Amino acid sequence: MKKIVAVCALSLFSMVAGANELLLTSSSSKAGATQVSIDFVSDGQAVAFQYNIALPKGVSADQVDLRSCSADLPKQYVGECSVAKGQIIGFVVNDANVPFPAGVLPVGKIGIASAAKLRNLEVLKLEVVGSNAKTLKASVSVDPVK
Amino acid sequence: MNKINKSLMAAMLLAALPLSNALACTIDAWTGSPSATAPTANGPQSAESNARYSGLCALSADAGQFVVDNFPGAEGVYRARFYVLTSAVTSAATIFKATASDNGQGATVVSIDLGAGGTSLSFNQNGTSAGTITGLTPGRWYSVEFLYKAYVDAANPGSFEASVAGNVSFTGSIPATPLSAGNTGTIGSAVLGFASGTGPALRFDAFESTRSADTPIGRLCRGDASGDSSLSIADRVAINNEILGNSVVTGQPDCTEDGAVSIADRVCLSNRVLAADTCP
Repeated sequence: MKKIVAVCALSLFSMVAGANELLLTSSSSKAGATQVSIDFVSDGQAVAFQYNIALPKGVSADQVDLRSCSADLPKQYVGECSVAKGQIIGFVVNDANVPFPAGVLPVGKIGIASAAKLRNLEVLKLEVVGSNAKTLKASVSVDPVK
Repeated sequence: MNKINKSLMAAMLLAALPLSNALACTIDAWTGSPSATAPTANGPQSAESNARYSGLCALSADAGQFVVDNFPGAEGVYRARFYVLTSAVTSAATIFKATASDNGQGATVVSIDLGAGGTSLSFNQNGTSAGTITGLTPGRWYSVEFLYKAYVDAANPGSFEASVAGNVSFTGSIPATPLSAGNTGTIGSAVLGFASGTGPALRFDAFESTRSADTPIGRLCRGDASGDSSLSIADRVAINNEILGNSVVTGQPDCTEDGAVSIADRVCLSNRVLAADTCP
């Protein structure tokens, strides 16, 4: 009974504390490439978010495929990404200043074609912003590279 | 380092205003006697849409209008930085001068002229040309910073140097040049505005001055709309809010430095974020 109560309490905590969350899920292909799926869980207040991911060790900029980095976004949102100064940088914004609906927002995918053995991705920065341009609480969930 | 700040914003006076009032733009912080018809401080909160570089306000000066800072006291080392939104002035316009006495009186120690057409800035110290920077575009924001060190003796000849940057990618400078004997003027007041010349109005912002010979004042962070000294998506949202008329930002939203806050600034700022640019 105590264990059940503890598990429920933890779940409730994560729902409240991690209300805005960037989800990075990695998977490897037989060719040695890695695909990173990007999703964002919104608390219903965010109008924009930006992420900066460290370029994995051994990976060069031209080994990063950003063509689909915002391909899964609904049309009313703007998403852009780049590789610069050793980072993969991306952001999603609703320029109408209307918050994303609460829940999961699919963003897109980043491809990393490298024979280098990738460690877990390192998110250097996650900034989630409300309609008043103030930052909101947010967290990151990175699934290990399989 | 002693710092002499002179902000065109009414920030220092805000605490004295009732909270229910809209933030006010004022030239009250300028302690000297302005021109007979004083320039106005205004910004995007005014009925008209007015350009400013940073914060809520800028100084708008028609020909003959200027403000004066009497804070300097016989300064032999004087550094100042300000932003100017140039215009295609029809004759050379004195936009800054530092003089020996209060209220812009006495010998002119340093002067800066915007050339006819608004494409050059000429610097003078103690009546001698210190150099000209060309290639400016009228209707753009430029930062102007100079350092004047008066001649003391042969072992300490002093120097004059200046730097100009703006319109996103323009830079120009006058390297530190030793002064010759006789260039001993000290500064008692500073005049900022459209002190002489003719042409369309000029706007000024973010004036600062110090006594430091070693530490530049430097530029503000272009595109840092939120004013937190970093470039991020929060600045894009802040720029959006101003474009949409929701609020006026307090940082530097005019990323393109073209005198307007628009979608172009949103794109400019986004490009800076994606390039991992950082604030100076």
